[in-house]
Amino acid sequence: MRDMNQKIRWLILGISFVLLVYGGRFLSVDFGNVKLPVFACPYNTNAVIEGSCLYLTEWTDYLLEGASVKSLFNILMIFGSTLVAILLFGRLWCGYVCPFGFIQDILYKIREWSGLKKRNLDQKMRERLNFIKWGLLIIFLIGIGFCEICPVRYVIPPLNGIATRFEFGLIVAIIVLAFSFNSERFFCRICPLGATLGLFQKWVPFKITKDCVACTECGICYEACPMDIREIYTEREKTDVTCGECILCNKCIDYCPEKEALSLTFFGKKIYTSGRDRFYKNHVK
Amino acid sequence: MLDKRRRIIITLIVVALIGIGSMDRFMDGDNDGHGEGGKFGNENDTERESERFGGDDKNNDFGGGGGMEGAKENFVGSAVQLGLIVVGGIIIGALIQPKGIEIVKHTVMGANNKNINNKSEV
Amino acid sequence: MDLRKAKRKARYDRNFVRVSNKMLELMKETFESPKSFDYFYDQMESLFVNQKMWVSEDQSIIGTFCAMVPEELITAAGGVPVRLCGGNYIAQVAGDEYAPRDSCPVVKAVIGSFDMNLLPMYSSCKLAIVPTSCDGKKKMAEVISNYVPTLPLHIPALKDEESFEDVIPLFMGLVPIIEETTGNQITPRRLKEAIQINQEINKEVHRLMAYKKMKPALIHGSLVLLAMNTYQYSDRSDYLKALRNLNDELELRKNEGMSLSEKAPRIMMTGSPVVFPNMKLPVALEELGAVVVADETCAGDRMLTDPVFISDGTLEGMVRSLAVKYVLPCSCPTFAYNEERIYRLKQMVKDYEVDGIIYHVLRGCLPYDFEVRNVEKLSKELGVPVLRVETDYNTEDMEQLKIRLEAFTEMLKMK
Repeated sequence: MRDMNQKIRWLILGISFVLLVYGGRFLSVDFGNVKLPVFACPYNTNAVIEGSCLYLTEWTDYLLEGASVKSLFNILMIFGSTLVAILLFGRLWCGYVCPFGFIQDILYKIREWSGLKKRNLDQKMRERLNFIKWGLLIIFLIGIGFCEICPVRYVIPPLNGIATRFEFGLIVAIIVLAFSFNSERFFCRICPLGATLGLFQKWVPFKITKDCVACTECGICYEACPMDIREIYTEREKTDVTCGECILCNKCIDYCPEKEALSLTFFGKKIYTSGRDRFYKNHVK
Repeated sequence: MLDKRRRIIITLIVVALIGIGSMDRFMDGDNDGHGEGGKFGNENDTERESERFGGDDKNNDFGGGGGMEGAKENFVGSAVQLGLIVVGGIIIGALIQPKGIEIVKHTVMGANNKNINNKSEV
Repeated sequence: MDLRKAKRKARYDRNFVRVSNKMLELMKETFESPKSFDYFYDQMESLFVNQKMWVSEDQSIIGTFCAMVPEELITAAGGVPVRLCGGNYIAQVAGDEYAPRDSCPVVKAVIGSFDMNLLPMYSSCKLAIVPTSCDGKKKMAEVISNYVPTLPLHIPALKDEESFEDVIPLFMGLVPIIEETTGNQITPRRLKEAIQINQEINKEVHRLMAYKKMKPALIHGSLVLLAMNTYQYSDRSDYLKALRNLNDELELRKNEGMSLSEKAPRIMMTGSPVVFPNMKLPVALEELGAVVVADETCAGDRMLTDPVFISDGTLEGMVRSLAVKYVLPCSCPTFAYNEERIYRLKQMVKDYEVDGIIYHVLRGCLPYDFEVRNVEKLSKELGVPVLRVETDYNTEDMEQLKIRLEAFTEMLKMK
């Protein structure tokens, strides 16, 4: 089947979007204090399972609450489940589950169908956006009210019919989504939750590895990468080329034309690898 | 990138929206979701904190989620917010649409040479 | 043309045809080829011996050079792209008076072909696009601008991000000029079709290369090289069909267990381009019993193996994808930094199970000669012997060459 990995990715993204945004309406299951490290906005009160974003940014509030056994247990569950989820899957949450990522992917697809030009962001822009990302990460972790500038709060809860108070985040949402229309997954380049996940990348079992001899430096992986990670194609020495910005969408592996030049590994074992046959299946009739 | 004119327009729009937004903050106070403030929901910080660890365990929105009860289901409000995003997004999207890249004007050597086809010359 | 030159031209024409014919006859005698291979012999014979073009006169022929010109743009505009790099000894002699003695024979052959009009496409060519890859090509562009409107295409010598982003406006600048030359517009749909058919040819070439990768190989490398050369001189859809037929017949042969000798040493040929009819090097090697299984020359396998990835369906997006294909994986030594060629050779040695490397240097080709050191280092590292062979287009050094090649292949056979 053509583009099988991307089709699976869209399927998983679609299912999680429906579950995380609308799940509360038709499912009566209760996940308690388990939270997922994606932007499933907790302001969407009618949700099956919430994202850890609000808890991570508001963690200072918990310190002020005092330490009853119940509250300690709750804190442990909330942050513990987040940590376990991060260490198990790393930024696969970003590439395959995050509902805000799904919305950005849809916008980008609409651009593709409408035949408009895409905006290529060069490496200078990538550095500037990284700078903004670290700034947002600091605001996020210090906890001075990220929810007021969060764009997701004005997209996901309203999609489920829940409106929140007007804050600056609405303007951020407008700007971010306009940019996401032209550049793939624009918000993911400045996402503080993604940056948090990226900090743990060294310990995550899923990695992208490269066979530096098989690579012909054709640059196709760089063209396909939504996060503009140039090191994937220029690296000539290291085997592990996963970096903190990579959302593990695996497009580079899908489109790499050389045999086994790029692979997705799980605890060192290759579970998905590139090849010329797959390239032809995806691109040639 | 974006040329100067577009940058100025975007800055003005952003400043205007922030201005409206901050004014709203002062005006709204303990909003009750009625009338003029109707499109802005009931969530605010004091409500959230009071319900933080007080609710019963059956409430699955523990911690900071406890106060999310304040965010009411408000279809008009959410439609307005989404509408604002779509309209604003289209406006800004049109402004930041990438312009065509520059094209190099190549020089073609020998183009003026009338006797190009050497079937007739030499 | 005055009378004296006309007489010289008649002589050159005769000898040109003779040299091309001799090579074709030699190949037909030496190699047993599948029946479907006759298409390639016929196409080359029809052009080089019978001087008949494969397209009608009213189609716009646009000449290209090297492997860096985006010919899909030309095809999309309804033009006919032809690679004009010459390989005939007589053409080299004709070009001798216009080029320095030390310049490479490809450049001399091109100038000679234009001056003496040795093939019909040189006179009916409406535009020539010359990438400024090596010094010889740069000055050749100036010389041939006396015969045809010439467009020098300045491909940068480095592949870092800033230099690469400069290539895209260059390629976009080709669009209006090609449109003006052919009289047709390049629309995104036509460009996509042009890219698509080249991708299909790409896929078939990979299948063909897979038959060479097998141990023992299924087809001689010289035949595959001739097939690659034929790409420039045939209609794309016909060529695709012919390749498919050839691959299907080779598949049948594989199932029947027909293959070349198992004891034949497997040779990789790399270096300066081997253009028809200058096929003496691979033919000599295979006459001596070896098989040229791997080919890293720019007029051979490398011309048709890099794929195109379209991420953006607009015209600019597709031109960007073409720029990525033609510049980034190109392992031509005219780039100032060409380490990726060594990696490519290393991978090819592994994939094709190569026993020995023949490094072909044309007399006067400095860029390829410079990289001999790198390949010698690689050969030591991999334990695969390498032999540097310097030659040009005349056949007078064939005997000496054969002695050296024979010694090399005997050494490989004994390993």
